[in-house]
Amino acid sequence: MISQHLLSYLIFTPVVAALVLLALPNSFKDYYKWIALGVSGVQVLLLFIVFSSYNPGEFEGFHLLEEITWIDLNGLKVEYLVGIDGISLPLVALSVIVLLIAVISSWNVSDRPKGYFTLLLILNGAVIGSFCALDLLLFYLFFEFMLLPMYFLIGIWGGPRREYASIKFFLYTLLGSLLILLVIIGVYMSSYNGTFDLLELLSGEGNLANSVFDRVTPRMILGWPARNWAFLFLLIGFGIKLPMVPLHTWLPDAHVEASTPISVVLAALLLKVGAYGLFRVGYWLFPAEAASMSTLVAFLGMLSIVYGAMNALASKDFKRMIAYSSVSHMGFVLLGLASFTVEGLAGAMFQMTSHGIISAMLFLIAGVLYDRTGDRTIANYSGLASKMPVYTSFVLVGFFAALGLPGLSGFIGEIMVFLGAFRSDYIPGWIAVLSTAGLIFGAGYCLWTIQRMFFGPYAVRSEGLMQDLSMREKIMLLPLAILILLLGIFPQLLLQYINPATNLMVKIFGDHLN
Amino acid sequence: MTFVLLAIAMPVISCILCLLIPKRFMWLAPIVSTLLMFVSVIAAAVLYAKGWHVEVTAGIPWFQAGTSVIELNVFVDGLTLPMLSMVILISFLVHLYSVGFMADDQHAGRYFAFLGFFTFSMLGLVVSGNLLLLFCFWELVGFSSYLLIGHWRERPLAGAAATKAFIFNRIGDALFVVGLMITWQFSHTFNIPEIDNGGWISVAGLCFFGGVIGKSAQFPLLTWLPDAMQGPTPVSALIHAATMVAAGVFLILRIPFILVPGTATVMAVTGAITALYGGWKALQEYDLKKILAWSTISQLGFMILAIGAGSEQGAFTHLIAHAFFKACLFLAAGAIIHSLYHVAKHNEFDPQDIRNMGGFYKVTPRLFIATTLAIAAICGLPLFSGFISKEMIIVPMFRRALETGSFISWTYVGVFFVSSMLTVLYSYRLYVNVFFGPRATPYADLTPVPPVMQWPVSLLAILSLWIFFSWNAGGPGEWLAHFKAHPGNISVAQWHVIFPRATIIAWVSFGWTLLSIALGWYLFTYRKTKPRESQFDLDHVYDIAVLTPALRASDSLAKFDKQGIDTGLHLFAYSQVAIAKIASYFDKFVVDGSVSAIAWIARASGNILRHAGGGQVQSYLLWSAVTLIIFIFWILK
Repeated sequence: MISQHLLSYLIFTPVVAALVLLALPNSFKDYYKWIALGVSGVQVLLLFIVFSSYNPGEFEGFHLLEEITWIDLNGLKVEYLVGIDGISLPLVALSVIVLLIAVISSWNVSDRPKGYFTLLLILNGAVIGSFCALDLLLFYLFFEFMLLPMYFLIGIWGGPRREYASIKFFLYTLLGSLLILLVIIGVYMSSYNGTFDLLELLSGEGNLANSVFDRVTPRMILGWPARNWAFLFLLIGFGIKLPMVPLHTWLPDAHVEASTPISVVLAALLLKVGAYGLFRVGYWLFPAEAASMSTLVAFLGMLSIVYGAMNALASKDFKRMIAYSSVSHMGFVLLGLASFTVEGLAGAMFQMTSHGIISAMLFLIAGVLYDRTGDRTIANYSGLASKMPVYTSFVLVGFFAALGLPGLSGFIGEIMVFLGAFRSDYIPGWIAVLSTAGLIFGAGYCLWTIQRMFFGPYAVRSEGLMQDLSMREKIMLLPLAILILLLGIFPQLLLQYINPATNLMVKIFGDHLN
Repeated sequence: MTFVLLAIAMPVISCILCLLIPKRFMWLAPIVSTLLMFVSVIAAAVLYAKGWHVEVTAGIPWFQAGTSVIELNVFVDGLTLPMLSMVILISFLVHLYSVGFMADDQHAGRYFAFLGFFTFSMLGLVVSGNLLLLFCFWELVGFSSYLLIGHWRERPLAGAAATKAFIFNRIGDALFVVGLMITWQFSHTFNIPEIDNGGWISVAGLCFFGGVIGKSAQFPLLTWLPDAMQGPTPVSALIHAATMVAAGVFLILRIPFILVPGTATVMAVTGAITALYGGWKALQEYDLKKILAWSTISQLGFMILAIGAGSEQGAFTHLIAHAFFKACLFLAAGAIIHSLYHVAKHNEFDPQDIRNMGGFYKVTPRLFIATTLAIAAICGLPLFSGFISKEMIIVPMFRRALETGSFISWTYVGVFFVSSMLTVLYSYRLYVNVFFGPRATPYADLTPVPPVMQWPVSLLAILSLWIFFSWNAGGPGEWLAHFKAHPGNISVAQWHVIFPRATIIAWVSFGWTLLSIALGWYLFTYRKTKPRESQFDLDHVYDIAVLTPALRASDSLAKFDKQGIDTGLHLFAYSQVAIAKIASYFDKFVVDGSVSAIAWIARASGNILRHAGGGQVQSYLLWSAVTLIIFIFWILK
């Protein structure tokens, strides 16, 4: 019974809980966080069931499918179609874990807790929903549904410049959404049956002749094939979310202003939705166009890697530095996607999960300091290692994972992306070679920060009681550190799911490209 | 196989135990980890007893990259075993020594944990059967070196040195990764015995050599090593003299197929520059540990030169010989500094400056004897390991120069002699300054050196004798000369057949050493030359040429990011607001007077535009709808 609608339970438990929370009177306000925690607990249990019922060797393609016709209106057919494959499963798992940690991290929110936890729960459902949705319109709805809670969570519970940051975030992502929506409507209008069903669209057979996205006789718009425009629009649209240089400037501001749990969700999950969408929509529906623009995508990936790392090196604000490191790490995902090789794609997918864990850890680490002093300036700290040894150990794990030390999860994704990108027929070799500069700059900003903040004689130039980690903070950081180690030493734990899926995708892409 | 795994597993267990030990039982950490290392020593001894010509390959799948499986595999052969045993033995002695050295340290648990982790990574590097796995351990030894250099976290210089070491290594490692990418594309496997050769190997080889330059402190990435002396001295002995820095040399010998002519020349030239530069800097340095560090750089350059010039066997023998005598020198130096430490702190002088030493032969006779043996070995006197390894380097080098007669081959021979002389000179200067001459400080209140620190030094000194390298004190014999790194190696029986002039060259080499000692006596004992500390420092060059520009570029990129991209964005937003304002004025002054229906339409459009800048959700939905309608009209037209 439960296994039939497993994904729906996963998606809608938080939504239902959000409604319950809204209905509760204010006198229950101490229990809101418990409800949110309970929801995450249920999701963890559901996740276990998902993993136990998911057998990657059983068959290729999507598992746990649920299909109900949702809207059927004179040829406009929207389905409630959810399912997961080896690419979405790790991301669903990541979401459940990160959202649980976000709830724990929000434990001390006292300002309007009802609104806060309601929004967090809606965000929860929307994120997991967008990783499971296999109907384009459904995906788009979930995608948009993440936007609003995020806007308010930054704009109301953020730092001093929260309004600027949240408007910027909103404007940027709205522009992206608009472009994505245009393409989705175009895809719908070009499909033979008038469908949004991604599985049907993937085969590419139900393509309407003479439609705007016709494969056989390309429609030209401004002297360029419409399908190329479509991929470019998707690249920009999802690239904003990813974020891809030069469309990234919303990210540092949003992160600096957002509170710790929101930063964690933003970096660990929302960016992944961008990359996931680019793959699931852009690469699925327009593989030939994606391949023809691979050099551009790879170049933007390289640019993100190096540019992000150099900006991180120059950042004076701890959180801003971590935000730029996210830009740099997500560049690897672009580079891997552009490669069209199994190891490159698998590396990109691995990197998404790995970066989700690492960035969550890094933002929690930044939050620890911010909670104590309210100051994020790197130069105002020195010698923290002698006063906060446990904290320092976690910082070492987080930062060394970020710079890609073997044995920690960051390395596997990066090296697989490098191997795939260099071998790829679609990317010139120099792009992969120049991207390795990211390794040097990555070590540069990570270690320089550690050196300035943690080594040397102890000195803190701002008010606050500097004590080592509390139990709650340890509970949040320890699982992440363990996951980083586990995935670094036993990458096959994830790759056993990812590999069959990317294998299949490369095979399908190959059919399209020839 | 079992014993290989046993030997590797012990340091891991030691690391985990030391990290988990509660504070109250911290005194147990040194004892436990030293005992565990001793188990490793026994395992290595068993491997030896079983004979060396074993070749073991075994592995389990690690993860799948694309269609191939990357394995966790070991590859043990005649090259691995001596290296493995050397690492285990020196690591054990350093553990033992550290029991005394770190006795007063509050964080000894952490120290021994990292020491164990380093040993594990180094052993992993030595037995790795594929290049990716080797690279993983390659980075991990760098990581443990980072942790150990930065062991005294409160010292700002230690943090800086640790960071510098890691980043310099990273520069080389980025090239290593490029080498891996090339190998993956053309060979599609990382398993060392299975990599097939091709034209690509020369480029890949140069990239791997980039990694070697970082790890083995070759020119131009060498300044991190003297800075790394900020770490505890036993760490310098183990990591920055005997094992980790030699990993680069080991790597080349592990994949000898990269030694194609062009690459080999690049190596030899790099090694030659490094050997000379390191020796020259060692002559000018006054810090005891830094002299040894520059000497290590010079010796490593010497090994790389030897490999590039065609004496791989000699280079490997020198690697092992150097590991023993240099570890001995470092540990002896550590003991001397240790004994001076408290006096120095009290009287505020630098306990590492050789000008503050002198006359030590009477104070610590056992250390004096041990150091004498090690110094004799580094100078290459007969009956010591250095003599044999040097002969094994120069003889093939000489033969190649005679055969080819090329200028560059003779240059290598020249560099060999010059850098041998530099070695003798700086060793002589160090030795005389520390052990002879007037006492610079009163020794009444020197801290005594505990036996646990003296024994490892003595043992290492004994290991610098010829007997452990060859029965025959005058040249290569059974033992290490017999390793089979690759098919071109020469057995002992062949040695004298192939090199009929070997004996003459050995005598020439010996004479040259004596001449160098005489020169040392003339310069430092007779003339009492005090070298000026050199003004030239590669670090200044890097500061000006690389670091400052890189940081500046980052800063200006950050500015561009804040101002460039966002200014465009803001201009766009402002222009929207301005249009809305204009529309609103238009609305107020022009339209208000006219027909009310027209006015209503204008206001509506003004509202739309004004809201566009204001960030209201409804207006965006409206915008989406409008754009959507335009788009639909467009495509349906």
